[in-house]
Amino acid sequence: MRNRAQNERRETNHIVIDVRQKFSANKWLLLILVATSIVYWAGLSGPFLHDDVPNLTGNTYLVIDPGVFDEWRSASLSSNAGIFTRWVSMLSFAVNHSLSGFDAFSFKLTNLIIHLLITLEIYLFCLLLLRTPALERNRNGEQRDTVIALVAAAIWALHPLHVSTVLYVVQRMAQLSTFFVLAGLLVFLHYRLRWATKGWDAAEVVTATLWILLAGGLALFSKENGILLLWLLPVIEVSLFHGRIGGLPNSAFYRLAWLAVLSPVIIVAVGLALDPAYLYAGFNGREFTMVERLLTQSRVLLHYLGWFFWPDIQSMVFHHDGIVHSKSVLEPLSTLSSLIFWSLSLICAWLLRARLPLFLFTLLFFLVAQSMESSFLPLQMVFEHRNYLPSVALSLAFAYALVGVSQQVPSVRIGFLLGAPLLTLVLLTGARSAIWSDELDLARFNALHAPQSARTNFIYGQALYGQVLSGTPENMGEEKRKQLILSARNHFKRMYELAPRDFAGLVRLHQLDSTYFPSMSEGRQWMSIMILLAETRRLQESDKVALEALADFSIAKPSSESFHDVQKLFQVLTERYPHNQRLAFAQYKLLANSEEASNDSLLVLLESARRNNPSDVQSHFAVARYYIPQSPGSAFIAIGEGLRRDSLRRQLISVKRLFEQ
Amino acid sequence: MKSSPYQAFATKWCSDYPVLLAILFVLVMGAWVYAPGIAGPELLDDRSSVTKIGLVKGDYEAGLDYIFGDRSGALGRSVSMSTFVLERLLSDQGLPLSKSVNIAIHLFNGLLVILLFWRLLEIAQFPGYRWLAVLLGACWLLHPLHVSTVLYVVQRMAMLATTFMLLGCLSYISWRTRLTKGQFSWSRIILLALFFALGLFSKENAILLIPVLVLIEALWFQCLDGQGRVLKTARFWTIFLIVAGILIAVFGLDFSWDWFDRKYSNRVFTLEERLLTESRILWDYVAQWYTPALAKMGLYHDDIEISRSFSQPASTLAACIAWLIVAVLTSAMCFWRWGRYLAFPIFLYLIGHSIESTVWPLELYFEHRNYFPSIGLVLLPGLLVGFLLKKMTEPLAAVCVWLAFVALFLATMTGSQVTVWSSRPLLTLYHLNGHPNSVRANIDMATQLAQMGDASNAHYYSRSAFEVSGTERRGDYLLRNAALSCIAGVSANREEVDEIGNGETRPFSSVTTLLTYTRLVEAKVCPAEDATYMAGHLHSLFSGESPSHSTASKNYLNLAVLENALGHYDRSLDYVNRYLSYSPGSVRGLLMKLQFAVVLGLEEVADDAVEKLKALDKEGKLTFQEQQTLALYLRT
Repeated sequence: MRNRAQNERRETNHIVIDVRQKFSANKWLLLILVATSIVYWAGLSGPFLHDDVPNLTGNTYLVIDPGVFDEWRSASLSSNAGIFTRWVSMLSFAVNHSLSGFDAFSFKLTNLIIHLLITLEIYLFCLLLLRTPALERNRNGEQRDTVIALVAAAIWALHPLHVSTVLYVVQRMAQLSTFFVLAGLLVFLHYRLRWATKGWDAAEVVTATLWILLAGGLALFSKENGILLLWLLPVIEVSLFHGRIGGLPNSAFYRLAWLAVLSPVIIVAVGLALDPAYLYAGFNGREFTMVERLLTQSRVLLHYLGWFFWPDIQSMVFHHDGIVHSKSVLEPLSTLSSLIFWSLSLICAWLLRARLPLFLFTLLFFLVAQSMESSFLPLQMVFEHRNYLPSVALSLAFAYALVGVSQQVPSVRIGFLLGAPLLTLVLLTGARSAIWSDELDLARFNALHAPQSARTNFIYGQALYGQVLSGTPENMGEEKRKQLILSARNHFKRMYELAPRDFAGLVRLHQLDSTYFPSMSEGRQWMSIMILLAETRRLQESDKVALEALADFSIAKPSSESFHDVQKLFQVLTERYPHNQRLAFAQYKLLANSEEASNDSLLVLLESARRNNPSDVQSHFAVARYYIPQSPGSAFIAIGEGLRRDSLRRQLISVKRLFEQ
Repeated sequence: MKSSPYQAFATKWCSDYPVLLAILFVLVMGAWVYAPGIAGPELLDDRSSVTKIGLVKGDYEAGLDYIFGDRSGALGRSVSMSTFVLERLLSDQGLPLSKSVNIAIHLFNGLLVILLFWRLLEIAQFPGYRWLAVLLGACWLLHPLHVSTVLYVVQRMAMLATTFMLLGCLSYISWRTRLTKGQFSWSRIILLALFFALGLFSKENAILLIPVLVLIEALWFQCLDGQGRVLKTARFWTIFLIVAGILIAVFGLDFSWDWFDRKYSNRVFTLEERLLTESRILWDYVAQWYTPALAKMGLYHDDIEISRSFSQPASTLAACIAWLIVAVLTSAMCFWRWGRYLAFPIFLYLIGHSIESTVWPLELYFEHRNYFPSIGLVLLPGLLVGFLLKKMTEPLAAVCVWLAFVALFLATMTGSQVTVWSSRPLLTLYHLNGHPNSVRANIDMATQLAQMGDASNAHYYSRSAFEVSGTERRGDYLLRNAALSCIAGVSANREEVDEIGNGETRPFSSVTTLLTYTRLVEAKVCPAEDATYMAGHLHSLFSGESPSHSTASKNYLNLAVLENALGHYDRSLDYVNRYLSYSPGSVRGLLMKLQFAVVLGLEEVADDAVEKLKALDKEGKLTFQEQQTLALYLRT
């Protein structure tokens, strides 16, 4: 009887401890979420920035009548950013807009909520990872796992590196992709842990596959990185499960998992060997080659690591175009050292895979999660948001190490050891978030801390010039205005000096000088430089935006001396880029506003643009717009041609509205 | 303690509460997706069957004329017509109301499909059958292939036939389930008979309810009672009906083959060619169901290549062989209990198509023909999922979420298709883009352009229509150009008018073109001098003792109306007489003769027409409106 009573009491105590632990964990988790919300709160009042404009505020397809079902489809398919339409992300933006219009606060608040949800996922993800066979050996109880998972989630949630993802609305695409990738990984871990001890179960395999494919699909349609979910699964398998099934190692499955880890690398390598032109083609629009990008990325990845473990917010600026491109393994020399570092890391991780499985996991997870945006694709070199998913593994490793050290050094209080870095993160993220609450402050901060970045100088110049144009503050005197103009010009000039082949700075200098300093001799040279540059420059997205602005500026002043020079510039560019419809349209706008414009010449230009871009829907609609006032029938036919090429029916709603008018 | 039946009922429905909410959600979703389609245009047969119904408020006799005067089917389709008449009686909203009613019927059909799946899957004891039924039903309800049925008002006939067939199926299942428990329900039998009759008078396809019920008994209930024992009576009747059905089909076809063949005289294909072509079309429907290609969907499929033989095009042979393989495999599956379940949806699809996609000399391709048969197409994958769930129940939630995403995906496709169907210009463009070789699509485009005042481009597409047709007579093409010129507000090309009849003794193959032109003249859309010139030219072709040219008899009536619009009553009478020489008992022809005779003061002719009309009235061949018209003349 007594034994039974003792057993019952023991069981009750166990349950009480378990409940307390759970309560305690939940409490801490809540604290992390609250702390994250507080540090980000200041930043929520910031404005829409840069790419938010073309993707959101300038995207008329997001302005929908929520009562019409098809308008949601149209809004969801309105992004041109990726090959898979990113409809999940765009749908979330449409929901935001239908609830509150283009109110930056509500958009950013949604981003913050997603950030908090991912934090919860990371907590669960770490908890499950710590129960994997490879890490179980080092386990020291449930409580330790909980602490590690909490610290990892806190590090990730409060890290200042993510401010530029959470508070940059358009990066919700990266957030949602991360959210669904982690959801898929959670499902995998949930079932894989069971299979590791109890063996396969067909029903569970089918269920897990269905859920993972669903999460993967949603991740993919949020942002293309979502496809990495399928690569991260074998990473977890090889590093933390070692092919263990039903309590026994399964070497065939283990080898298969390694093959799955290596196969994307092999596929890309084979693709490069068989048809290098295909992969290289994308770099035609870049000022660097694929090899240069790959070499540079070896250094960039190290930068990312540096930012994560030593979060110097002064070096976390919006644009990182100041980074020197690696021209070869030795130029700069840091390229070689970076390559050696990564090679040694991989070798060490492989050799120590049994003793330090978390090291292998962290390294592979980080590299695989970076693989899409930091490898062979012709994207820009550096962006902080690319660390949003990869840093999950770094957070776990950091937390694991911190808790491990705290246990090894009993003289140091665990609270201090864990609290100090977290408090530091809170302060840094809070400070960065505050900077992000104001566009001018952000631009100034960036320009101050990245004086070698051309884009940063340009954006600060833009922000200053924006103040001049908007006339804020209202009591700005003439002296202050002049000061702002000069300061803006200085930053545009600085941009030109740093990136002399970039059109953006030149266009702004031309605008400013011809508007405010017409007598300045230097002002006349910008146009000549641009015409020369047009013959060799590989046009970037930023160039196209700048050139469109130049066209608009010239149209506003059609009688200016430089108007013909601008026309000549576009003539050169459209000859080099006959298939670029944006240039063609800009040229059309210029011609339409010139003295020598005639209906025939305009039509020739539009038809030429249509011929050169037969698959482009907008080129047909441009012809339709031309015809509307004089020949509605021809306009109707041109609209039909455009719709024929609009396989996703993106334009359907707007064409319907046009017909209704 | 035994619970009361009411408590059991309440408990059951409470346990199904989330599923019922899901059904409600699906129906609301369907309404939301289809709502913009209410603003859609009038199409093809809408005019002849629906919008021609004038304001019948208070005029119940005229209403009855419309209800029982429809000649689009063998049985008159009076149930469908009565809904159109009822709409006019209750409201003046016209086409938008008709489209709204169609959408409501579609939602109701969606509910019935869900209930049918619910009962069938419940009987087969599939785990999670409720959720499966709701989600499969949602896939059917939200499939884009149905847009051309739901938003094409006149297809309410097909929809209502489906409604009553579904109600009949549910009545039978209910009756059969009770029978399994040893209860015989007369009420359900009566309901079944009632639904069958209502279905038949909605559209003749409802006759298929009989083979469908045989299928349900043979392949789903498998002639078994609740304990798995064979019900001998059920087995006898099932086998009897199957054998009788096969014999009727085989011998009936054999006897009436020549009769069917003769019916194809007005078609550009023969009976054999139709059957060969339909073997390909049936596969195309399947492909459109499982992998919807929106660009190809629509009303016009007259560009489909006709199969002239097994090898022309080669896909005909492949299609026939594939159907043969399906037939063999499906028949083989019937030897196994679970195989019979799988065979059921395949047979359902084929039987559903057995009227409109076989020997009848109808047009080759219409999407609305899938409205009922597609229930089989959605059930087939549902059964495969059901079998998976029978083996393992764990993936049920994941499967349901996937199915929900499939339904949502289909809804987005349907949404965009509805947007297209909500605007005539959009529909015109999408039809032409999807079917550039469709005569009708090109003519629609030409008409649209003419309405925009662009005669030149209108004539370009009219020519395209003529060229892609291959069988259209040049006279039809030239007359169409004249009509397009009228619409565009420009004068017709007189050289083209003079060209009508050159080298062709029968310049018109179509009644529609001349009818359209005549209506335009009546509405004074065409300049009077152009119309007079055209009428004069046509008169030179078709008049006289032995005219140089001839045309379809109905065209003489159109010519009469044309001359009537221009005040040439003598010519009108001449044309009417020509028409009556082909159809002496035509009430419309006689009434027109009476009218022209009265105007021209030809009393004898008028009296002759009156006598003939009175004789026809005695035979009950005059509608109420025709009686009224005759009475008007008799009074004056």
